[in-house]
Amino acid sequence: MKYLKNIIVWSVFSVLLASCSELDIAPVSITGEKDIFSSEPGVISYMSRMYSSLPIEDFKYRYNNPGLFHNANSFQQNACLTGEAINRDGPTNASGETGVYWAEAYKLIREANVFMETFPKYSSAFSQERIGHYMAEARFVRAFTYFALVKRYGGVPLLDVTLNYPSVSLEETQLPRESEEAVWDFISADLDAAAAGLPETADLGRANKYAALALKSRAMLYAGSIAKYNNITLDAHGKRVCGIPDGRANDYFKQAYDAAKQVESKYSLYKKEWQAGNKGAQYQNFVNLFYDVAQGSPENIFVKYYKYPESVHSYDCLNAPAQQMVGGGSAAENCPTLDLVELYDGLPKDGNGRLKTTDDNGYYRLFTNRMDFFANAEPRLRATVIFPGDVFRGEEIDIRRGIYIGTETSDIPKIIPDAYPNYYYVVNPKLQLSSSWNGGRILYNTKHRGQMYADGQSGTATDAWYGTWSGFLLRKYMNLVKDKATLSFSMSDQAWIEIRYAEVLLNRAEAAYELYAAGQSDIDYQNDAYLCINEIRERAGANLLNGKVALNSVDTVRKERKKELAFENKAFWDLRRWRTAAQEQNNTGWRILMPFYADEADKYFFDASETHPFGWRWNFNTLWYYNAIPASDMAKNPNLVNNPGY
Amino acid sequence: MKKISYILLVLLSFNACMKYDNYDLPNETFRGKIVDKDTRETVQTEIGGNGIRIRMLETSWGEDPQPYDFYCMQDGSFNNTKIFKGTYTIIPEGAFVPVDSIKNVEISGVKELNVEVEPLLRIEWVDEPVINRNTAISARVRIVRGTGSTEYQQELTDVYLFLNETPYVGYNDYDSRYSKHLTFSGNAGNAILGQEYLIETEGAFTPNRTYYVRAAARINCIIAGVNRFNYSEIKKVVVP
Repeated sequence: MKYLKNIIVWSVFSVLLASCSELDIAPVSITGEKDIFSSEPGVISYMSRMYSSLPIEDFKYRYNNPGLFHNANSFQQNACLTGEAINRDGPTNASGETGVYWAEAYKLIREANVFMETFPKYSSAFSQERIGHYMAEARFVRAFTYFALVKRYGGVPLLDVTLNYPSVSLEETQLPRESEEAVWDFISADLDAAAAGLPETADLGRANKYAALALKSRAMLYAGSIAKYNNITLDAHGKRVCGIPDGRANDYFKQAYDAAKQVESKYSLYKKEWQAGNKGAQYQNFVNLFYDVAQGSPENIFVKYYKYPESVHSYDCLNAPAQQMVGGGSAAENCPTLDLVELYDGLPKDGNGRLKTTDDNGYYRLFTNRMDFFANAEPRLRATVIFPGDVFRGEEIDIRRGIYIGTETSDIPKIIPDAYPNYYYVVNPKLQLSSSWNGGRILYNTKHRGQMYADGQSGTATDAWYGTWSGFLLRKYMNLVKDKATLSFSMSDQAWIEIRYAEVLLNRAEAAYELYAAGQSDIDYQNDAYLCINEIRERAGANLLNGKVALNSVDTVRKERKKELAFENKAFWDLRRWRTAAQEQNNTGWRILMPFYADEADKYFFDASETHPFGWRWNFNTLWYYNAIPASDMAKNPNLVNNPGY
Repeated sequence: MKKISYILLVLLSFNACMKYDNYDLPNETFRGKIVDKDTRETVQTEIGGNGIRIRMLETSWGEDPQPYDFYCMQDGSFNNTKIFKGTYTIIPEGAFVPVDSIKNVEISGVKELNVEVEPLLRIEWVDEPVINRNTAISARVRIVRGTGSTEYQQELTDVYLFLNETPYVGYNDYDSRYSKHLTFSGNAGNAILGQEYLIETEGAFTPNRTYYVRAAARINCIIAGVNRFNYSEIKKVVVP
C-alpha cells in the first residue's frame, strides 16, 4: 500500500514539474494550414477534395435521395421526371426534386472561401501565375456551388468571406436571403474572374478558362429564363428572393451568348468517325463521343472521371437489357419513352407528329425484322436508345410485348383502342402474352421461327419487371463491351461529361434566339442561332433547317436541346427554367411502343396506342419550380423565409 | 453493504424516470369554413396540398414561430380538434384572391372562424349529370369568374370533368381513364366563361357502378406557389 502511495505522489509531482517547461513544438501528427497551403501536393489535395464534392448531377445523382449526390446505386436518373424515360421503381407521378442541397453547399462554399483567404498567406513558394490559377479555380468551385443553390432555392444567403464563430456572434452568422438577382450576378462575377485567371488548358478533370465560360453560358441562360418566364415572386427583408425583374432578361441572355461565343474555335463537336451521308458512321460517331474521354476529344470541356475500383458507379448494371443481366444485378431501370423518341427525325409519323405504325387503312404495317421499321431513323437517336431488335454488345436485343396468333397474314387490324394502359392487351384472345417476368413467361412454338418467349429476352411482360417498360432501352453512356463483370452493381467507371461543346452551342442558340425574339439587332442573332442548330443537326445526322427563316420559334431550339442532351440530366432544369413543366406534365401519360410478332404472317408489327403500362399520369405542381428550404436549416436560422407554398 | 448499494442504485434509476410531461393536451377545437363572399356558399376544393391550406402561427410565445399547417376538407370547411390553447395568426391559402392574415385569434374551447374570400372561378352545375349510352356521363356546367379584381383574371387554361369510384374526387384522386381533361392555349379558354358548357367523360366505363363526378377549372394564376383548381360540388351518379 505504501508502495502505491509513492507511485502516486511521484507521478503527480513529475507532471506538475514538467508543466513548467514551455511546449512550443508543433504537433507533428496534425496537418496544419501551413502543410496544406505551402506545397503543391498539399494544395492539390485540397483542390481535389473540393472537386470531388462538386454538386455534379451525374450517374450517382438521384433526385429523391435525401443528400442528392454521390449515391452508390442511383436507380432513378432524372430522365424519369421529364418524360424522357419511365422508371421501373417509380415515380408514379410527376415530382419535384425531393432531396436537399443546402448545408453541404455551404460547407463547400466555406472551403472555397477558406482557400481564397488562407492560400495567399503561404503562397510565396509558387509563381505568380500559379497563384492566379489556384485562386481562379476556387472561384469556379464557389460559382458552381452557388449555381446549384440558386437554381433550386432562388435567392440564398451570400458569403464571400469565412465567418468564424465565436469571433462573430451566433446572430451574425444567421444571414438572411439575398435577392435572386444578386446571387446570379455574384455567380456571373465569380465566373468572369475564374475565366480571367484560369489557364487555357488544365489537368484532366480540372477546370480551365473555357469550363468557366461554358458554365457561365449555362448559368446566365438560366437567369435569363427566370427573368423572362417566372411568375412566382417572393419578397423578404425588402429583397426579391424569388424572381428577377423582367428588364434583366436581355442582359442575362447577352451574357450567356457572349460567354458561349468565346468558347467557339477552342472546342468543337466530336466528329472523329463521322462521314457525310453515312448513317452508320454518324451513329458510331455519336456512340463514341461518350467514350472517347481522354484528352483527345475536342468536345469535352469539363469531365468528372471515375476509376475502378476506387471510384465507381452502377450505370451499366441498372440500365442493362434483361437478357444481359447478371445474377443479383438489375436491369432496365430507366426506359426511354415514345414521347422522346418521336422528337427525332427519320420515323414514320402522322399529321400530328405521332409515330405511325399503321397503313392508311388502319391496318398494321408489317416488317420482317424489327429494325426495318427504324431503317431511316436519325443516327443520333439510335445512339441514344436501343431499338427493339438492334444489336448491342454483339447481340440482338430481343424486345417484344407478345405474339399475335390471329390467322391473318396481312391486314391485321388494331388490337386495342388508343391511349389504353398496357394491361388491356390481356383481354385480347388473339395474343400470347407473358403475365409475369418472374415465373409467368410463356414459351410459344411459332410456325416459322421455332420456340420463343412471348415477351422476348428483354421485352415486356404484363407485370413489366426487369423487361423494358416502354419498348426501348437506354444506350447513351452505356458501356459497349459485354463484360459481365461491369453488369454488377458498382462496377462501372465511365466518365461523366458534365459540360460538352454541344451544350455550349445550344446555350448560344437559345440565348441568340431569345435576343432575336426580344428585338435585339446588334448581331444577326437569328442567323447565329440557325447556324448553331444546323451544326448540331449535321453531326447528329438529322434533317437540316432550311435557312434562318425556318428558325421561327423558340420551340425549335428547345426541342433540339431535348434531343441532343437526352439522358444527360439537363432536361429537368430546362423544363423548370422555361416554366413549361406544368404544361407538359398536365394529366400526361408517357407513351410507349410495343412490338408484336405475328405468327401466321411471320412478320413484326408495332403498336403505339398506349401510355404507361400501369396507367400512371403525370401532373407537375408549379410549387416545384422552387424547392423548399429544408426545415432543419430553417430552424437554425430564424432569418430565413421559405419559398411560396412551403 | 454491497447489497444496500445495489438497492440504492436501483431506486435511483427509478427516480430518473420520474419526470413527466405536465403540459395540457392539445384539446381545443378550431373549425370553420372558407366562404364565397358573394354566394355565401363554401369554396369547394380538393384534399391535400393543392387544396386550401390553413397555416397557423402560434404567437403566444414569440414573433417567429414554426408554422403549423393543415388542410381543408373538400367541401371547403375545416375542423381540427387537436389544437393547443393559445393565440394564433391564421393564414388561409387556396384558389381565391389572397386574404390578409387574421391576427390574434384566441383559441380556447371551440373556436369558429369563417373566412370570406373571392374565389378565382365559380363552377356551377347547370343541371344534373346524365348517363349516355350507358358508357359515358355528360354534364353541363357554367364557369364564371369569382372576383372583379383584374389582377386575378388570367386566362382559363384547364377544364376537367373528374370521375372516381369514391366520394373523394378531384385533381388529387381521379380515374384517369374516364376523366375528361380539356386544355386551352392563349386566351381561347376565356370564350367559355359564363356559357353553358357541355363536357362528357372519356372512354367507355364499366356499368353497374356508382361514380362520383365533379367539374373543375383553373386559370393561369399561381397562388402561394401552386396553380390551383376551383371545383363544383360533387354529384353521385349510379350507372345501372
